[in-house]
Amino acid sequence: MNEPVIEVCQLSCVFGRVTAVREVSFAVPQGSIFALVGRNGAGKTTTLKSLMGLVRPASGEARILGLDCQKQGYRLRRRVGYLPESRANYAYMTVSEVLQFARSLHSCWDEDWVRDSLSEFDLSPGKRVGDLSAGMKTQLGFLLATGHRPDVLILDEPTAGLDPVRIRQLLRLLVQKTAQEGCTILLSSHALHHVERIADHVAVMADGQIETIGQIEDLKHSEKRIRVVFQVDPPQELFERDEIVRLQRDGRRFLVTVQGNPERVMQDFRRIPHFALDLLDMNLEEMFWEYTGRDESDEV
Amino acid sequence: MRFSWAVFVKEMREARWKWIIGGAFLFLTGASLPLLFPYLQQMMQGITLPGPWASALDAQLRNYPAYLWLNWYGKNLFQFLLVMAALLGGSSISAERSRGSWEFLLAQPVSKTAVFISKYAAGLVLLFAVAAVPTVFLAPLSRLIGEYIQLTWFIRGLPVTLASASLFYSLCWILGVILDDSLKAAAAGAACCVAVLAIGWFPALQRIALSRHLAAVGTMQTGAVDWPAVAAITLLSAAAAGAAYQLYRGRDY
Repeated sequence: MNEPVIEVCQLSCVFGRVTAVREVSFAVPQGSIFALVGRNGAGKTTTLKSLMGLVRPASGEARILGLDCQKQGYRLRRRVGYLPESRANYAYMTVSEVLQFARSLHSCWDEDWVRDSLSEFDLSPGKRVGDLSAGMKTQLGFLLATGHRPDVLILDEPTAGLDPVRIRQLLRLLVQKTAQEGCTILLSSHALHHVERIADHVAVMADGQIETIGQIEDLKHSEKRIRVVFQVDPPQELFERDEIVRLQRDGRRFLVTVQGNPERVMQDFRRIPHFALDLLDMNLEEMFWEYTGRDESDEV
Repeated sequence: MRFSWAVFVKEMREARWKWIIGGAFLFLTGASLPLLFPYLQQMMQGITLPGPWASALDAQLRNYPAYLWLNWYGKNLFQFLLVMAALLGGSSISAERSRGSWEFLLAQPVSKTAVFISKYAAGLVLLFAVAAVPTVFLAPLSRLIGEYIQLTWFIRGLPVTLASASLFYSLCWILGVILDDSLKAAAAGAACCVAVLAIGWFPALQRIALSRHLAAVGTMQTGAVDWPAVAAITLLSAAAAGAAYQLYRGRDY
């Protein structure tokens, strides 16, 4: 595993009586795409803002490229690109004027990359920012975040407002940035299927805390689901075991979430007469529901 | 880096309509003072005003420099500077926040201090420029109606007037940092101006009344710039700007 480029240690952010982020810790290896997923209000944006020095943490610390996010923000922002949650920009400026303004603030600026991306995104340089659609504003925000060829990209909901074609284009660009330039990307998203396509690490946040974290493939393999329809009522002790982390029941139909090796559980289930018994892989969306949607009732 | 030229220029550009419209308005109302003077003299010949107003107006109509000074510094420039200070000071940070561009700006490689100083300086330069240019222009304009004012005498009112305006501007900055909405900040700035001006309603507090200094009354009476007052007001303005800076640094965005 590469050295971590982003290190967050026991970070907490408090606004009045509300604890938006509670003792969050994670590390993002160089060249990886790390996704923070979670429901609205889970603390994703606050975590990203604190990394950019926009929010002061109540405790804990965060470092990017070895630089303290709170104390060395100026040096850090030269090497980090940030796409904020709010895509609103200077509405009275044209696209080229906003880009010109951003360029004047950076010591280096990749004019060729920006020009090529502008035409790829079909963004008209002469169009006023206020007249751009939500998707175009996201694209412009992405260009502003990447124009100076940052080592690290922090993207808050990068696919929000984009149509499927543009989403595909953006995801390809993100993968390109990591593969060709070694850029490290930390993003937050609700679009789990997009995250699953490009991210190699994921942290699921709920109520300001990280519920689970790891490489997507490891997480997916660490938990499995068993769907079983018994012919008779099974004994209660069949489900009383450490491997079973969640049980959903509808009559004699059961959906059982198992952590670790599911084979022993399957063997025990096979002993009971049943109509169907299937072992199912979990995708990121199902994992997300496991950790964040426990209050919701879902069908077995 | 303690200053960002790019942010300064952006601010200038952003406030362009404020200074174009405000400057044009101030210039026109300023030009009306010398141009209307002869007509005012003629008009008032047949009108008798009651007691104190009659003598005050009579004194002004007999003395063109006093007329111009009292109406320019005491009315036109006075009101204009209060409004502009509230608009420029109140909206500088709050407008960025209310339109959602603040996160983008703070994510750029510019220190927060540089953003503050550049924005503050841009507003102050605009405020001073828009006030100073028409003031200087009034001297040649007076020639058109055959009156003469000495420019070096007339601009002596500017230091204390601009220092007072900068204090209002800094106070409005504090409100602009606290409030997230530019309209609310401008309204609160206007209320703040009224509160500060209220001191001038009490005769015993005239020496420290900001309204008196903004109108440069002392300078007109003595003919000399009241440098101690300019220094004291500038210090107060710097303290208010420092308070705005501390609030700005301490906020989460």
